[in-house]
Amino acid sequence: MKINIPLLPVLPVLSALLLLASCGKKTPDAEAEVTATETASPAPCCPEHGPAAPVNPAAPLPDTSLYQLEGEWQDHRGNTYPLKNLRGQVRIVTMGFTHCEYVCPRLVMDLKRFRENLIHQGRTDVGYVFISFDPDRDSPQVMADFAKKLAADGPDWTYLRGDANQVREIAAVLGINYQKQPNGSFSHSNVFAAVDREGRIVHQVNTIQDDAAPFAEKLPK
Amino acid sequence: MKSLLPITLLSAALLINSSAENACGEPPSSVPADMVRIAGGSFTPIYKNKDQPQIEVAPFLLDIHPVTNADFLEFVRAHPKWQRSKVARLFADENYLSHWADDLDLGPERDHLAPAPVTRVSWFAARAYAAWKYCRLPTLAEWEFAGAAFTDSPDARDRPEYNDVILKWYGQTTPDIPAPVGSTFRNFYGVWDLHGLVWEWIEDFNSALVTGESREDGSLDRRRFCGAGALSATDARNYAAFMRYGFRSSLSAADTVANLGFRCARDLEPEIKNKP
Repeated sequence: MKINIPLLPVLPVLSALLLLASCGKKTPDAEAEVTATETASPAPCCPEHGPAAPVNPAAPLPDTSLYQLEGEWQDHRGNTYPLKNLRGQVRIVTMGFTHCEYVCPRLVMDLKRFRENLIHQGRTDVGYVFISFDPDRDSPQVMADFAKKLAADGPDWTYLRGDANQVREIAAVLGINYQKQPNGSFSHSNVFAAVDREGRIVHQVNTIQDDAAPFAEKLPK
Repeated sequence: MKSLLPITLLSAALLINSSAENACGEPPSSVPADMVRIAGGSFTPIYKNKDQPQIEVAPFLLDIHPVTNADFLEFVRAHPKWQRSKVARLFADENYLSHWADDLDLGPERDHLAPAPVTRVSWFAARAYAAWKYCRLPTLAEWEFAGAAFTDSPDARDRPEYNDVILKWYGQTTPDIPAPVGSTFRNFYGVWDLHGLVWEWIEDFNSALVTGESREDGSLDRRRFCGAGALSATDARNYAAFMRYGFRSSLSAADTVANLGFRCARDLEPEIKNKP
């Protein structure tokens, strides 16, 4: 249920500062700003360990649900589970990799801004998912460190690692093109997908965003 | 769909992957009768990365023919979740196997359909079949490597007669039922119908980062793509390859197309790899 609050002024865009500082390293100013942002927001909803249980695990998944994909995934907390464990919560999903020299931290920063915006509109029930292209290097610990450095590791954040076959499939479902490079990095398209509680993609944007609310009314209940 | 997709030449930034990701099963101990061993080697792709202008294609096995409707019928009989009335929409669109009469019935045209390459199958369905049979789809690099061959040469991309055969095929309308497998030409490696019959799915069809019309130096649009930068095509004569890259870029994984089928590939065991 939405609460009618006038939109607060848009928060300072942190992404430029963090990009200049490069992945993983923050200037003291940026760190202070990020901390201030974190303490200003209301506590998110979700349990500390693992995703929330599905609303009705016995009911069959709708046939366009991406949670029909098989395979076990590891999250940054070291839990292992199939994608369908993410059922039951609206989620915004992107794909990247932690050793990224280009835009991937910006993808997380964009998710943070979406999150801030949604929380200020009363949506504290949304989860944020970052799926790695890079199972060779993105172990749970590496992902946890990455998440912590970007201050994007609260209970409503999930970072996932699957094998190369699973990565190819989820990218295909999300419409993300990617290519592993000789040096081990990945070139890829930048996509944010909003997924409903049953795993159906309901809206998608295909660039990094200046807009803090690209999903606006399109986010399902 | 009565005609091949009109693809305009794109000034595109593309990146090539040469590694196969073997996700399942064990390689065979000998070459199956319906596959051939492709020796592999160095390959200059149409889109060159200046840091790695040649890519290495490791030896691999490739189906001699595309998968037929008869083959695919056997598969869906064994795997009901891939039957037309049961498949999840995530994995195949509403035209999946629409040319069959029923889930397990090729219909009155069965004599023509059975030996013809199966079409109207999605990437997911093709992969499921491959996993059931041999393990995987060919990678883009493997397909292009094998596809560079003509009847008498492993790399005929510079030859007018090779290009003419392909471009002539692109100019034809799609028949209601494709010709049977083995009806085009047998290439240098002993592989049939890589050109002239149906387009074919590959494992990494979603590896191209096509930026469309670009008047700059070909660098990637950083808002849409994260990555090391671009390649430009260096061989404008190879229009056929442009068509294939453009076509693959237009596909989504659940798409089914009237003239799009597939064949299987497989890794080799080390002993077979080292044989001359």
